[in-house]
Amino acid sequence: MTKAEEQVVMRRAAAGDREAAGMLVRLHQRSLYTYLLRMSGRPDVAEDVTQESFVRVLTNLDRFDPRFRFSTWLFTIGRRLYLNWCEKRRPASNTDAVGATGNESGRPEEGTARRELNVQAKDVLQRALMTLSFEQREVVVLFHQQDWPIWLIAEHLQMPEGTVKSHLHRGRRRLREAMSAIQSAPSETLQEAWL
Amino acid sequence: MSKQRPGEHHEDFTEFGFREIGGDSTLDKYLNQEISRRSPEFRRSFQQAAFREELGEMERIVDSLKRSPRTPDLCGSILDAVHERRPFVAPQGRLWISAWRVSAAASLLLALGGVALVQRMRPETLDLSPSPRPLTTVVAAASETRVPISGSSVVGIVAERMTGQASSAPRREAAPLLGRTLAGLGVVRHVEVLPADGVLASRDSVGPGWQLVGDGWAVARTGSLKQEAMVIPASGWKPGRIKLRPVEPMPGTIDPASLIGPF
Repeated sequence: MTKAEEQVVMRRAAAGDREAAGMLVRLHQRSLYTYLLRMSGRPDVAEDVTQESFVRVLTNLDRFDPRFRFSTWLFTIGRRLYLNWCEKRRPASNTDAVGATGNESGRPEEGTARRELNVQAKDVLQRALMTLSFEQREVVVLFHQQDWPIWLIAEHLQMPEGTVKSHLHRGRRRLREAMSAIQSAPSETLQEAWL
Repeated sequence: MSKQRPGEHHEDFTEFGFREIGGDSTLDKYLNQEISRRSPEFRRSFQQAAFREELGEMERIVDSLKRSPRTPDLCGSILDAVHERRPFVAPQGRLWISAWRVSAAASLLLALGGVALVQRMRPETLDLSPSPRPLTTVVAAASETRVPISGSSVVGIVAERMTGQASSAPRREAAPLLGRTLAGLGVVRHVEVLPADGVLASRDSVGPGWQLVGDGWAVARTGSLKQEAMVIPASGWKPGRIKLRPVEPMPGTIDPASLIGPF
């Protein structure tokens, strides 16, 4: 969808057209959800934040600055909401020091959280991603998964392009090291390390 | 989407303490889409086995990053949540809203157009400045109600008749004539010459109780009060309306007849 077409759909959505709003959701929900999933490592968080981001954006379409793309605005809102969520909840799986979370015994509580973590533990890539710092993870995901150019990431994250490249370089290297470590380690040891 | 902005220069990573060996740097540039596989730099590095191995590993990682995990369809729940906070409008409703907006805009435009037309045809109609009270009105009001008009303004109008004769009439002659006439009007403390927006088209439109002063001039009569000459210098005279106010309050009740006396 071109920018002009997108703006037509946005105007219709702003006028209260449910169909147009649905079009915007269907067009962008996958990218926002996968970004948030890769950032948080938790499907429930990704789902909640994705939903809230869309609701915020769609109920404030009249405030949209047409100089930007809808996706950039959506991701800005999504990122803020996710950061707020991190501040409030300090989620167990969202940490750069993987072993630092859990209860006194070093393991998280039984139940839903544990089941989700087990599901996530199967995803080597996700586990490796969680070893990256927040900034590294974000830059790597935006560049390699979302296919954003470096200049746009720099604008979005309000940091110099050199810093974005630095995070990319370090993030990729760390990701490669983490993935080879995870793949070469026995599964039980990995589960321990992850939990 | 191109990942490189046009005219962008490549950053020097040494400031970040990177391991600036050839393969690493070239690999970063390639992965950042700053160089292509066809570039000499890439070809040189590609000859090294370590580079090829690292490249293969990184490409596998990047490929796996690009593979999207299963995404739930959140469309329905999102739209329901949006509808709760800001209800959607049915197509019929949107049509009504659009029609209402168009009609409101059209009405506004029509109103503005009407105002502009009236302003052009009858500018005095839209004059928002305090309207002068023609002497005839004062007289009529006094004769009917015989209320004191003490302190009220007696407003006259001097207007240039918009005829060829009037426009060619020498103003130096008009001014003394006007001064003499004003002297007959009584004591005035304020003569205000307003812009010629109240120009009268002909003497007939001035109505009864007006005195022609010179060729092409008309002035209101305000009755005989205390005599005092009021001469408007020729240089300061402009055709238009003048506002006359008595220096002293007019005596209690004015007999209309005293206002209509001959000049």
